[in-house]
Amino acid sequence: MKPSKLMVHHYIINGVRRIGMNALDICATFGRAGWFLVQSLNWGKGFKAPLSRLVYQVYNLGVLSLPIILVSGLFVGMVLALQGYHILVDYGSQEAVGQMVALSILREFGPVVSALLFAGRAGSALTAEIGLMKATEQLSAMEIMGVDPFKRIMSPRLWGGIICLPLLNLMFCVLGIYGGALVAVDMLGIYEGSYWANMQGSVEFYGDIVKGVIKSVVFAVVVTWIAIFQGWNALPTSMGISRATTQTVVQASLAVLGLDFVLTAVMLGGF
Amino acid sequence: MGNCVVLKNVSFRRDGRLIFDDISLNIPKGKVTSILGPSGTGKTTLLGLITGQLKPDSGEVLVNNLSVPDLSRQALFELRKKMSLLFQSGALFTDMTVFENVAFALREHTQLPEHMIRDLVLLRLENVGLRGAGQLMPSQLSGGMARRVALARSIILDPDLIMYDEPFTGQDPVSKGILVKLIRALNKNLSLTSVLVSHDVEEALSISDHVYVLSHGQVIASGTPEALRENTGSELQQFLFGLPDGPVSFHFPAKPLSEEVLA
Repeated sequence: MKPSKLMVHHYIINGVRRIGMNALDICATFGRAGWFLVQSLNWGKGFKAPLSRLVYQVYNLGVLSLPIILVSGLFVGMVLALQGYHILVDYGSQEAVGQMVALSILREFGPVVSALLFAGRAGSALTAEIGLMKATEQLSAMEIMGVDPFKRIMSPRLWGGIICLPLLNLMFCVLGIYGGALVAVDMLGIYEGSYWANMQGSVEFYGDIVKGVIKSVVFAVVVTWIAIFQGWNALPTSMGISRATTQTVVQASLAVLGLDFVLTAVMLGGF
Repeated sequence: MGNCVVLKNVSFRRDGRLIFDDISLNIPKGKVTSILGPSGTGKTTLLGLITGQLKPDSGEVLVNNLSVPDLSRQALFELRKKMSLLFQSGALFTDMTVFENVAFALREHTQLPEHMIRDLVLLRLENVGLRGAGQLMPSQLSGGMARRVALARSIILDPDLIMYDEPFTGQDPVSKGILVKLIRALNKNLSLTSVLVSHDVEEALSISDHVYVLSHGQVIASGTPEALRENTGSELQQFLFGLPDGPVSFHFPAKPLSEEVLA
């Protein structure tokens, strides 16, 4: 049956209305998330108690993420050296494998992969923890006792994430470069002197290491922000928490990859 | 004595549904006031309005003569130090021991030395009969014990106003008896103002000085427990005596069965 003109108009208006409502929803969520970030960055009064909470979060988010970061760094470095060797050997440039491993890891793999792993390990845990605190009314209980959950719960976690991820990135890079040396030098027989000397000659402190750390700081803010906001915003049901945890990993991963392109373009002067 | 909490012509909607329609009530200082009503009448929502977690669409909510919806975030947190709420679930912090749960507000709001915090916490745990359970985790407590720990936690800062959200729900008769005794004793010994939200009629009436009964967003009756028992209003009688059908319908609004099933 052919739809009447009136029905077509109805579908179009409904479609436009739905797009408009979704756009408004997205704007409202961004607004709330922005305000949430501003409030969470506020450290609060005093030093001693907030510092001990921060130290606990650094342990919780950073130290407990070390195994996955170190093992991943080692294997990423090993694979890069292996792949790099087989490409470079065709051009007789296999001695440059150290340089290739170091630059790839310091500029890209370190900040990006450590942020993705951090989102999966620590980000999801943060969302689930805060979501469950909400579902069991622990956050409300805190508010009723006159304790601001932003300062007591959100702020130490946000600052903990901002401190941990750049450090985890550096450790990822160190293990990655060491993993590359294991494969290139010990397995493939590249001269150890050229592996390290080529690397030393090509890696710049500001251009490669500092820029990698800057990326990592940006990723840390974004990943931790998304994780704690999703927990705060989760529906207080088992399905709500499960959905928020998934959203954290998906949104944080996409944000890291998208921002990586923007930051790389800005740092290379592409814009 | 005056009133600790005053609600004047309060209306509140949630998701388009009218929860309160122009209700007014007063909670006198130093008394136990019960808010009764069937499930879903917004009794817990009323506590949300008093604590400032929710804002009314119209009307005034005054606590200690301060207009709660108009307070700044900081002023609201200051006011909340003088009030406490016993949640239906207890809402204990699951990663802290019983002792740390009770000490939480003291650590957050005071600079007391550790030995003094210890003594105060032990005294409060003694009040609820759980001094020996200080090192247990919330997961190791029974429902009744968890609620008593939450009660100890809610009185640790000596509040002026304490609110109980369905304190008897899911409790065995012994735990109910203990809670009834505790609520009355704490109100007297600590000179508190208590607001008890419940649908456990007998327990609530046995310890209340004044009672409000809510239904369909309105106060349908108020007065002393004795006066309510003598009230002949059909809706009130249905609620007080637990009659299955009456003005509060057993059926949720729906199309006629014949129309829905046989159509």
